[in-house]
Amino acid sequence: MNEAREEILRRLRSGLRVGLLPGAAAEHPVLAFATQEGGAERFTIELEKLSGRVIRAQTRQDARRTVVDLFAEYGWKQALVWERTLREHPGLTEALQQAGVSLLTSGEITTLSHAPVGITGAQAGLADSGTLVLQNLPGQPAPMSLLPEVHVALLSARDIYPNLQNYLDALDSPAGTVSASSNTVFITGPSRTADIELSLTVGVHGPGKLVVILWDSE
Amino acid sequence: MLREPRESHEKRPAQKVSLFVTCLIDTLFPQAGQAVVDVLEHLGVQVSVPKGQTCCGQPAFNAGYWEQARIMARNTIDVFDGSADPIVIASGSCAAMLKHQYPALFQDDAGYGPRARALATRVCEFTEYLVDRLEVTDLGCAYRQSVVYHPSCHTLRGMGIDRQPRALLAAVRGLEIIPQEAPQTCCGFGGVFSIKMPEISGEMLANRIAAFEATGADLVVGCDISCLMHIEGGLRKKGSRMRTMHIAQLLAKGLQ
Amino acid sequence: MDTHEASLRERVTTALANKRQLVNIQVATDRFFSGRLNALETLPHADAMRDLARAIRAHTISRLDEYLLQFEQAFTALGGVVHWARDAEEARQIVLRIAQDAGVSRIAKSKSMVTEEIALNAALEASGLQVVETDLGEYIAQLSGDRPSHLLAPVLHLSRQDVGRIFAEKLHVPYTDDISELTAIARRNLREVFLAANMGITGCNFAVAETGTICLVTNEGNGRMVTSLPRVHVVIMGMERIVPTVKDLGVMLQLLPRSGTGQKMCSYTSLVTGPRRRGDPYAPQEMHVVIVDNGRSKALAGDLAEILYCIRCSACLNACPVYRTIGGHAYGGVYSGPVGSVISPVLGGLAAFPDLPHASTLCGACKDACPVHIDLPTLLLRLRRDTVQEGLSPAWTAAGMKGYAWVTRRYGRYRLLTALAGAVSRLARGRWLTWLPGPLGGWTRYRAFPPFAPETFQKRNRGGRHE
Repeated sequence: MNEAREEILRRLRSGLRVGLLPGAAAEHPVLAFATQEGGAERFTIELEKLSGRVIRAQTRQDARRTVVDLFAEYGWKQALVWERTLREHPGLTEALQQAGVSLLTSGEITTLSHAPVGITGAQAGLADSGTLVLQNLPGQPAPMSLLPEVHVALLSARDIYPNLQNYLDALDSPAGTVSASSNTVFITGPSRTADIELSLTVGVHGPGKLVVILWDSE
Repeated sequence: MLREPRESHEKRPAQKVSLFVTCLIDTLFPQAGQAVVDVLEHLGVQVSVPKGQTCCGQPAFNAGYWEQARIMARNTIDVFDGSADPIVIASGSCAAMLKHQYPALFQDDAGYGPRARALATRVCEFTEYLVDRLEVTDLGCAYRQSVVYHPSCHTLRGMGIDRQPRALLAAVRGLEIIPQEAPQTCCGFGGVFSIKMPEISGEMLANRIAAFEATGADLVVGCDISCLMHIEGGLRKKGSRMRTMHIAQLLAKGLQ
Repeated sequence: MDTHEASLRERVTTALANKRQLVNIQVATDRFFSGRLNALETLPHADAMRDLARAIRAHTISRLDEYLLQFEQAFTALGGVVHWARDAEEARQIVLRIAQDAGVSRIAKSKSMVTEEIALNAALEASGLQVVETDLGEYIAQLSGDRPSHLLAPVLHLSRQDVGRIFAEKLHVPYTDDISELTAIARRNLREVFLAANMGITGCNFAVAETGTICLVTNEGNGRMVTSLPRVHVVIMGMERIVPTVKDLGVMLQLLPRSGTGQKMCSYTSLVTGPRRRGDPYAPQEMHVVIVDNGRSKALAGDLAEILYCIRCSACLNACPVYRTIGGHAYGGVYSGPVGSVISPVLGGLAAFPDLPHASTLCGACKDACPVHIDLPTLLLRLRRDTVQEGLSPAWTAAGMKGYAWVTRRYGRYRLLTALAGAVSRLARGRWLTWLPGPLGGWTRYRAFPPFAPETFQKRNRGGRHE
């Protein structure tokens, strides 16, 4: 293995001495891009174009009530949920349990795989594409947004950035943020495919339904 | 009867150009070459045709025979030596060959390198010469036909020429220019490709002819006789009454 | 070498005979092509973004050794293992060894061109491991023993009835040709595969050197499944798939989905940064990255190195009039379209693919479409030059070219030949010919050939406007 590594590096170094690489500058190229417009309204439009559902709520409490209403609407009796989301939305646990919903914050994957809905937060939203940013960390595991047929995400409008470029620019350290988790995912709408006859089908391996509850202020 | 062109050409100092005929025009469609000369002379340009032109070498170059291409290129460079006049070429692909590929072919050649680079600076495609150098778009032509314009790939992408031929056509009185679906799709000629990969070439041509016929136009007009030869060959084989015409021929006819 | 040309033409003839498939290809490529244009219009500063992306790729490739080492350091610090594979065989052996050492038996795979390039599946299956492709199109292709025909739409060539038959036969389910039902069947079956798999194998759209991150872009969610659920995750990475920083990745991600399918972002973009950490819920315990050379370092050493800038978006396929006419299977090999016509001979040797560089009219549509402005026509011309230099050009072309150069070297010879040609055409009464002999018959099968003029232009103007 080491032999292969040395051989490859040797080939690279000798090749680079003679290779024709048009447009290659010695300096790492960097360009600053202007901050664009785009917040909750744009986010909503873009996600709805992708068959996502966005429900606006005014306050965090309204958001909690919306979750409960959603469960009543769909009749779900079991849900996967981020511990972090339960902490960040006081009263949610009680409200759902009162409605007869059993909540799972952890467990065997095969068990988790049977739940019809997963409730998570999101650390950011990207307006120009209707994208959610989630990271796999203790208290906010990845399977909750992946295994069920429905994914419900609670997002604060304050955490919405115009686009990916502006989001990365706003971070103190993009490398630090990405490195904080073994798995960062950008979710843009429900799972989809057009592999059969180019006909769009929503809901393949990931959730077929994505509902974002977007609340504006405290 | 000659119509008086709108712009006055008497005040302009006499322009002189050298004409690179191109082997296809020379051997198969000399009438197109004549049309180029007629149009230029009508605009008060003095046209010289240096002796001994053969081929720019593009078919060999495109087929990977770069040594053979250099042989033909050296002849072309020799023929056009001894002048600083613009070299007008009524073919986007041949113009691209002289302008872009000659310097590359002789990059490391101490003798032909500088000469190829000097030659490249003189090259000007026919419609580019009329519109951008002479600053003429309205020659005072009239020609009652319906046409569809075919932007040959080397003219469009190789030389960046599209605005110029369209402007010239737009100024022809009585000419109906019919728009078409996805006009910038290749006709399938590609030089040696047309006989190396005839099945693909034939299919691409059939698709393009279908698009032309859907416009109902009488004529396909273009700036590259190689594409036009290809297209007309397909039209004739099919028994279509549609024909092709080089833009120089259309303009020359319109001047009569 | 003539047999290769025959086999490309055989594949082309087969492709052209399948009218239904041709229509599918045209519909798909039209949709992706206009999708790309629309999506780029929604990207502020799209042109500047593309120029920047090219600059990033060029700079990265020019320092590929440094950035690969930086990636290795970052990834190893996270507890991941980096392996280096000089060629396909070495890469296959590495994966087999990882599987053996980890005691895995059931593998779930997410779509990856480089794993097809190294023919990984066959090797895994030969040693008794079960491998299931989990992208719907790849899953269908695997079940039917077929080959993908487009980078982004692998079973473009199949109808839903075809898929219904394949599922009925291979999955023992009742026949249906309803697309939602077929998708639901695949979801159910593959969910079991995801839950049971003990190893996930993926490719890598991009790797980020500064953080040791692997980026995977999918629409279905299978990429997330195979990188979260199995206990071992193996990434096969073509060694040019690297970018220096997270912000560089951001630039690429703004262009990749837009250029390929016309989406602003694919449904799932996963940034996997190392294996499970302490306290991490649900992540692989082991993560390996296999860095694959397989001819890339050789490409670096010449004037074809620019092909390594490619980000595998497939914009060139969707723009190419040849691809749109013949589809992906006709190219043979793993990669098709303009990029395939360059990368297949570059990685696999021209002797294996002497005809591919010639399957193009050099129209330049690919270069226009490429998000990083790769000059594909020039690369194809250089490969054609190499075809001739390596003696891979057919005898009749060589003879024709040498003859042509001989004639055009001196005006006297040229004048004589053209006069003869003019005379012959006069005998044919100036008609367009509908038959030509030998290889030239390829022309007349589809077109008439014009008559030579009785007098050339230069002869007519003799004594006229000369210097």
